[in-house]
Amino acid sequence: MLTTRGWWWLFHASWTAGLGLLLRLEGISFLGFMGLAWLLASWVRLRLCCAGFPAVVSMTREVADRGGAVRMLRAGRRVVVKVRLRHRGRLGWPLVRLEDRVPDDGAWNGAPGWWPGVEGALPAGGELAAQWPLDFPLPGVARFEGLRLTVADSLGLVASVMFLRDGTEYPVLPAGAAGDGDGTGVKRANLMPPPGGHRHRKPGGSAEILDIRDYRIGDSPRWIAWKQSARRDRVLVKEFENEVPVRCQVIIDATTPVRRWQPGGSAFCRLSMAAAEILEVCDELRDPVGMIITSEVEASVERPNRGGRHSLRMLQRLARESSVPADQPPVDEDPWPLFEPAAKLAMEIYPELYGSPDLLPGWNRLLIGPGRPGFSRHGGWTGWIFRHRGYVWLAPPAILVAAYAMASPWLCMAATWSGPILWAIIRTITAHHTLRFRERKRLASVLAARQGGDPALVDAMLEDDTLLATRLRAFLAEHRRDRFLPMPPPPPLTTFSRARAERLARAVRAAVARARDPECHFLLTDSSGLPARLDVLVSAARLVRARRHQLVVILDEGPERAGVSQLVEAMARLRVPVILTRTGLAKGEVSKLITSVRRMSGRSS
Amino acid sequence: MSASRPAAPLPAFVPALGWALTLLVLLQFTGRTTWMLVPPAVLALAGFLPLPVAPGFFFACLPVCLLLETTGGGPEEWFDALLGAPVRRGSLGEASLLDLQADELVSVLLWLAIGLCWISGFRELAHLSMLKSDPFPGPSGRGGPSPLPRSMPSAGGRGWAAIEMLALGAGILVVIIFETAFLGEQAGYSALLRVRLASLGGGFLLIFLGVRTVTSYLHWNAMPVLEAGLVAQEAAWREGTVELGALNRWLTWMRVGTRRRAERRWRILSRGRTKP
Repeated sequence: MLTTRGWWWLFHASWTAGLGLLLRLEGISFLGFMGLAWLLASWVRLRLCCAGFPAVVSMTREVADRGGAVRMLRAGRRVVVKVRLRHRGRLGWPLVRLEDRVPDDGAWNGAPGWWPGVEGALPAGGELAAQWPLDFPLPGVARFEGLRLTVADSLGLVASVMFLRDGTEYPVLPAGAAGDGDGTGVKRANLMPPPGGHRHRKPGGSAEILDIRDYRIGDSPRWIAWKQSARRDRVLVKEFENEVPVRCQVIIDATTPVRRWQPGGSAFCRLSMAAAEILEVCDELRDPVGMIITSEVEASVERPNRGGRHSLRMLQRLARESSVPADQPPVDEDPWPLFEPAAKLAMEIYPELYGSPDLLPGWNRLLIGPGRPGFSRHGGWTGWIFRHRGYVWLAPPAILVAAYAMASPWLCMAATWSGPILWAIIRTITAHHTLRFRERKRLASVLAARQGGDPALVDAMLEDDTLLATRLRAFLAEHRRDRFLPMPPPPPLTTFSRARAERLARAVRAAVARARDPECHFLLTDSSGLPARLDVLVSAARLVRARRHQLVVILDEGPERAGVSQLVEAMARLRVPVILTRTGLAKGEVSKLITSVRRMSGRSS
Repeated sequence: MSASRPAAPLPAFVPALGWALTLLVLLQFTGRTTWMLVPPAVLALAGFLPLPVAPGFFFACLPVCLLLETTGGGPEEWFDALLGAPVRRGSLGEASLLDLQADELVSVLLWLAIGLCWISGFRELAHLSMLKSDPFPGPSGRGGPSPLPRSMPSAGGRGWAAIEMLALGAGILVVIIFETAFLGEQAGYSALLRVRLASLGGGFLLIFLGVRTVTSYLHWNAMPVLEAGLVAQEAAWREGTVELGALNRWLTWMRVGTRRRAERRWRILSRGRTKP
């Protein structure tokens, strides 16, 4: 492709050559020809330089923090991405702009619209390196799609844009409050048992007195501190330190409303950050911790265990689940408004596919049919005419039959011209539909190639508006571009189903069923459709409390707050604390809560 | 004792010119025609090239010139034979000097030099302007200058560029001269114009198709898996789109019909009727 200065040079040289030919000045026209030949030679040189791409280059990528190269990232912790491009061909690149695509949901503090990178020459056998800081505020998966390489000749007259695909993925682990610091671990207390000592397998108080408090109904008379009670003239009880490990079960709601992306991240991301804090605290207290992630289709269970490897596995699971976008239900809609963002995204990631002229449907199909009516209900009356354009060619024989029947020479003469005239009229009226169809064919081809290269899928997407719109929305959601769609998302349902709550309650029942006392359950969900789910959640909490287990509800407070106060009141009656994450989890809030719950667990058993 | 001043770097072409002059004198004794002046001229021109490359040109052209020396005719006789007109230019002051006289060597060389200067000047200007303006094309929506660190390549390679420009200019001049000589004096300017445009378009197409053929073959061998899958998918779609289209049309009609029936049933049920 010609650059801006290339176009200017082409105009200048063409003008000079044309002027020389027009005025019969052979010398001037020679100068113009020479300018054109110089431009053509630059193009030839660039094509030869870029031939064999991507085999002629190789890239290496390294993500490092202060301690060196890492294979996993932590949400909220800055890393440095180092990219190195090496040329392995015979002809070097005179001038190249290397741009590294920022992963979806990653943040680079650069100029808006630009990607981080470097510009310079890449000789044969040489290297070009760039490094840039990357912030990842949310957990998920950092997928580095690749490098955009803009190769130009030494004068910048012609250029070629290529994309070197990478596809390296780094899990971005959620970080709790412990991860908000500078990354260096601070040992706050020696909670390891002394040498030779073991924590109790069964519940029971230890001999160490932790506190003395007023007597509450239900306390055992054995715990009454007689001397202190007599001294203060009121009944006091001794509170012992609990050395019993409390098994924790983190039950996370991963249904579609929780995964739906909002400004600032999905609810699942915030819930996974809270879950990560719970995991860290339990790991620090050496309590076994498990996790249940329940969605519409399945519920995955990680049995309670302790240890760094187990915690890491659960954090990786959380990161993987955080990157999954919400399911896109099929919606009967006009896919045309989705074309522009999808085409922009496809041009970013698949420039060699989307920009290929081979994807065009061909003028023979566009101009004279065969008719591909499609089943779009959209496009208005011009769309209807465009879908039935193939039937234009029935007009001449019909008129000819009419001419024969009516014995009209005028109709006979009109029959010969009716087809081309009607065709020209229809082409003029439906010109914009032709352009839409070409764009649709490009997008359908790229989407089908991503899914294995099924030609029948291309045809299906050309025919079915709903299928194409669903795939386009999924494509955009996969790369977090659904938040910038020109059209609003489908309106939320006015009636909420209880199926989500039932799945969550089933997970709670499963956790209670396999529990070993003492047990603490953490229920993480959002507040969407809460009034419809309230009774199910309360009954699940009642079941937990009936087994004398502890329950903590962590609620991601959404834009709609209906039902939150009712839930808090209902849970308070069951002595179940409710934490709202939208207001921001205070540092150490969860750890304090877990400590108090451990105390209650040891006491209540 | 003052520090010794570093010596200024000697231009690369100065020793090459010395060698060329020496060889010029020597070769004048060995050859009978002007062909033997070409090797030292090449060496002088190659002084602008990197040192490892320059002797190669000299040693490549020396046997060729020795072979041409055996023909007995120098370059001036070859020009005379090619152009079919006197080589020497009579008077430089004529008005026709402005225009390219294809049958006069001085005019040809003059315009060749002008063309070289023109392209070279543009080349230097492009290098200078590249420091201030962004030469790369990019997606729209980018505001401001490029924030990326840039290590601009040096404006070197003038020697290669000079040779390339010389070759291009000489090639174009040969085509012009041949076309003029082929058409002859009696042909009108319209015929010459047609030939010029035909050679311009034909030459462009020939080079374009040739280069695309070679580079497409290279790209075909180095194609990534995803792109190869797309090519196979496109070929299969073009082969079977009519049959698949017909099948899909029925399948889609079936899907749409099912959906419409379901919607109709839902509407009827929502109105409170028990039977659709």
